[in-house]
Amino acid sequence: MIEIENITKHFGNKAVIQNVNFKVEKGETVGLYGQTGAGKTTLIRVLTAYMFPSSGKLTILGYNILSHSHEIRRRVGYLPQGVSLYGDMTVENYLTFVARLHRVNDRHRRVCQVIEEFQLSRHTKTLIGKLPLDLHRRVGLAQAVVFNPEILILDQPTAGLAPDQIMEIYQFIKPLTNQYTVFLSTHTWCDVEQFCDRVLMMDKGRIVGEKRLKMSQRRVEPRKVAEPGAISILAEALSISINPIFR
Amino acid sequence: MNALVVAKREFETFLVSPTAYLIGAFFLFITGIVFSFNVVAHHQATLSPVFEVAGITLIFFIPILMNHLLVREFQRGTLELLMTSPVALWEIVLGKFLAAFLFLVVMVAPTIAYLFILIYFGQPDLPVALVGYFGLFLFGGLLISIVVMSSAMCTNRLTAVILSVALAAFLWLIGRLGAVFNGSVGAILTYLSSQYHFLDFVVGVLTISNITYFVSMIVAILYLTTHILKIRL
Repeated sequence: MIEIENITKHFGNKAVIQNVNFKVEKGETVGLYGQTGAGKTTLIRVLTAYMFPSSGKLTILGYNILSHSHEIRRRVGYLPQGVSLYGDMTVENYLTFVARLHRVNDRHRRVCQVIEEFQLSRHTKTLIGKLPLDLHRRVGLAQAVVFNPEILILDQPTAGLAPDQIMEIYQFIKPLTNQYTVFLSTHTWCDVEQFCDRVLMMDKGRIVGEKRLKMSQRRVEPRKVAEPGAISILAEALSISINPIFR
Repeated sequence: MNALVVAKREFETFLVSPTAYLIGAFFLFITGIVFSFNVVAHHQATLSPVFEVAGITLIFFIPILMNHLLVREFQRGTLELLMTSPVALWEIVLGKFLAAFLFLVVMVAPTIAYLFILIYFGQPDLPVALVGYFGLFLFGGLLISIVVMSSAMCTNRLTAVILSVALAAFLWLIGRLGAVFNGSVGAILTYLSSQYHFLDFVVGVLTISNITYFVSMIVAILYLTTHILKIRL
């Protein structure tokens, strides 16, 4: 579903992501794990066709990002980091707006369906700007799936949430991993354990390790936040092969 | 077309904006004073002075009212979600323009009352008035395209207002330089002046040249805006 070959992204002279290669198969949930500043968000923005790579080849659902970005955007649901939504719109109007942009058939029924799915029924007429952070995140998830995408890309879906809010949002993300091919970035190992079949470790713009998780490892645990050097420690703990220069 | 979806959303934000109503009311107050003065003092059944003052007023009001169009998308980060939807850049730009233009129509629409008053009490030249409205909307369209471009270039709303007013005033006054220079330079400067073309409409002169000027300027500026956005992203 996603094929990345030697993707590099430069901002001026600085390479923010360098020679990234990986594949994501249909139905997989793949995590992108790394510290803040590792290049996760840039990579996600390239995957969602918000930015274009400086070099390399990126194919999503058989479409090349450079020539068919419109087709990719039509098929990829995206929850950005921080989820900036139109605060001056009500929840229902916003979801209808997104459904309209994606030309969803039977819009009203689908919007009602996601409102119910994400338990937003009591907030349909509330302005998004007045919602607390956890509900705001739920609206973000709802807009990402309202048009039935084929791939779901989540950029740090639990960032900034309180522990109880994280446990709550897990309940909404978990079913999505069974319905869609999901690619999510996080700096929290707990998110990886919760959802991912496979995790890619990212550091300084490069993929420095990869690990397939056993089902038993996908469980709820107290939230762990990455510390400096955590990737190396974690890689050792999980017996992941890691390039020595990134240790 | 997704430009219309973007336009609908944007237009709704105008309808719930207190600033929009305030500016709209102030616009009607100013044009109302000019209309009353013209009728009472000069006993003229014409809207030409109203159009002239309305045009000058819009140079300031449109940037104040519409500076947020793209600046706010950048400031709030909402452009990211819009840009990862199947919406082309030109559709975003056109959508913003259409929404602002529709609001301009709504803002100017109550001045039709002045025309009805003239028809009731006198014998105004209706074609002149209609050409005047047409010109006002074309001039307003030009100002809106300038504001959309400025808001794509700036990082905050105040700079967008200042840049828009400066560009609009420059285009308005550039014709004065035409009188300073002789020959083709003077002719080009005069042709580039929005005032030169707008004032023809105000007095009821409808020419293809004037329509072409406004339409081509609007299209060129919106096209440029799309490229500015592409560079900024």
